[in-house]
Amino acid sequence: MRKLIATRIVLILIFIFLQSGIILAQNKTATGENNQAPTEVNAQRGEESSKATLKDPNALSESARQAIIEEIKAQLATMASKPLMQLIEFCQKNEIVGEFVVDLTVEGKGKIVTVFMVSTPEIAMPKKNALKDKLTQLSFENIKIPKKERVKLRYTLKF
Amino acid sequence: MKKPVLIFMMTLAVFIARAQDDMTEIYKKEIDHSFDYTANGNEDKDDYSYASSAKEVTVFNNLTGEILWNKKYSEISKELGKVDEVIPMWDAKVIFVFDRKIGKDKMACIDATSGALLWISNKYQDVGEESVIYISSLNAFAVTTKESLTMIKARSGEELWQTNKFKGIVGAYDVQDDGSIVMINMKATSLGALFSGLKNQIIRINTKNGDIIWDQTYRGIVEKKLVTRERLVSLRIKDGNVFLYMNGIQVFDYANGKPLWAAVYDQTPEVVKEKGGVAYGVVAKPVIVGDYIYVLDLVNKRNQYLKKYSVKTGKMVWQSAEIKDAKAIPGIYVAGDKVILQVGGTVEVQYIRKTKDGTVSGVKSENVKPLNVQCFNAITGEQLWESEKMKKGLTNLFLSDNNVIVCSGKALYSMDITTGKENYEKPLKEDNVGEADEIIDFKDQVVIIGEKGVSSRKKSDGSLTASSKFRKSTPLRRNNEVLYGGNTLVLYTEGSDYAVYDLNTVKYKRFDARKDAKAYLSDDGLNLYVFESGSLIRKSKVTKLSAK
Repeated sequence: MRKLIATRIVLILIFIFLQSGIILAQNKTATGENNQAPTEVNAQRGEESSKATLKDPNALSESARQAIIEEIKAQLATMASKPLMQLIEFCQKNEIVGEFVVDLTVEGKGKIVTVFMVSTPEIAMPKKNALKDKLTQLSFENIKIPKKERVKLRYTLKF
Repeated sequence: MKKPVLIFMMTLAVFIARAQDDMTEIYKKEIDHSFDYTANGNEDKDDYSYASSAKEVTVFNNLTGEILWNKKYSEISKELGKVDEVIPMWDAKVIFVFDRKIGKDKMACIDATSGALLWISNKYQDVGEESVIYISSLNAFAVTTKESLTMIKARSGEELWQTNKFKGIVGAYDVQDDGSIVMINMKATSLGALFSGLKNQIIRINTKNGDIIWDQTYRGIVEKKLVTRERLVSLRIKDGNVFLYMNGIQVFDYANGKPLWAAVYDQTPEVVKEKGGVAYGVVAKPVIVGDYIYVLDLVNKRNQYLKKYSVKTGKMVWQSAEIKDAKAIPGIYVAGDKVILQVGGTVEVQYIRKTKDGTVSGVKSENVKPLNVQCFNAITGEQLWESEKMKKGLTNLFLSDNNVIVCSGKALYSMDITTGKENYEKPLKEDNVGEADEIIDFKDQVVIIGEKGVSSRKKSDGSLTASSKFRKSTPLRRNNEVLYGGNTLVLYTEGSDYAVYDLNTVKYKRFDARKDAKAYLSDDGLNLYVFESGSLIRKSKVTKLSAK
């Protein structure tokens, strides 16, 4: 009986903890922690637009962007990191062969968030899709992209 | 008169009456299986319809009734067993079917014209109709899952791109000619998704390559109707602005996603006492006229205002005096320099409640009081007049020339829009169609949809011009509209008897279908398609009828 009561108390505490997490997340959203939520404004739209042109101090400079792109391309060229070695193994196992031109969008600590298959060789469609799935799970090492920023690059993968 | 003669005369009278009223059959096709899923394509564009059970589907040509193909799903693909959902994608000429098993959903894309399997995949879990958007310019589908958004070529199933930057079900979207799609996500109803802490996203994506052009946050929670599960949200892009209608309005810059202005209230107010019921249509959707938008602001139960904003600047032009004691304001209408508010009246109530016999759900109408009509000066926001003439009931109203035409359910009123002075009050008893449920503006007439039929009256003086009694029935709606082809409306009974009215004459033709039949009226209002599922002793059939 005591065990049952204790279990129930633990479950209730977990529930309260999770709920408070959701409320916190919603409050953050409502107050626009990362993105400014629309508010009832009487301000002129022109004023709003002029604010938008102010430069974000955390924005990625062009040279920093290029450096990140070069680093990612270097990693793709050597295929030396563990995830990239796994990618090669995956392609060998699934007989995925040829040249694949892809656009990769990367954010945060090198995580791929968008993959666009620009051109692919004439191989079976499920193989193309499987490669795209594998690419979306990839991340690169030694990359740090500021919040709200993304870096996009085009690369030709040869397997 | 002797009894047999009387019976004969009565039978003859019924036969003559029925013969005059029956719709002309264009074709009738028997289908070799029962069906639960049906869909009817537009006769001009989509020349097919289908009837499907969980195991078998038949597709036929709308014009001729010719069976284009019939297959068991297991013949289309060995991976398909019983299907749980069938979704037509008319523009793409494909049918999606879903074989759902928790965590192992299969989604198959079938060529609607040949029945050939285009592709099948078990990658897309928990996908429903709302999660698939057809992008005609790419001949591809944008499919959203809990984890990502993927663009899939319609015919091959090849995935063009995938992004993990959009998560959740699509709440609303708008596709633009520049190749962009603007969409909002929404939380699923399941408990698991609730605990995922999903962020509210409004996002603009380049459909060609999956580039996120901008990503913003919207306010509020997308609500679904209790029974019919329609979403109470819409999204429109106009003149460089993204308008998100959801408990008010939120406006974003289309170019960069920047939130511009908003007039929102927390949630739909509770106005009905129906057990397990929720009312919809309680607060009118904002109305845009030219460069201005008229919005209701429900600060709380007591403080309610009508506000006018400039669409371009988001600047408030005026705020009306407090609209006192209103529990529901279902309509805002603007004509010239006047704004009319419908306070109270018919709202939709959906309910789910437990009874001794099990769970009961339904949709009905309810009148929310207090009831009145108020007129404001559109330039200044000053109240010009208020009429409480229809204190006992109010179905809806519309504006016509300089008049407000209002129905109380038992009477029809016309009021001068400038002064609020009554032009006429006409009781609807002689219409003989029961109490009015709704009025619609039709040429120089007011069409009255009654509980048991349809009548029409002249807008100018309210005199009765025509009336045809049917039975206790409901109008057939498509996208919430009752008019088809501009002249036709359909009433149907609980027993699936249909009456197709020509509103020019207010005469109808009828078809008595089997109970639980499903019917579709063509967009031009000329043909009725009736799908009647059969059983062991009765064949399933589809009948096309002329409403002419």
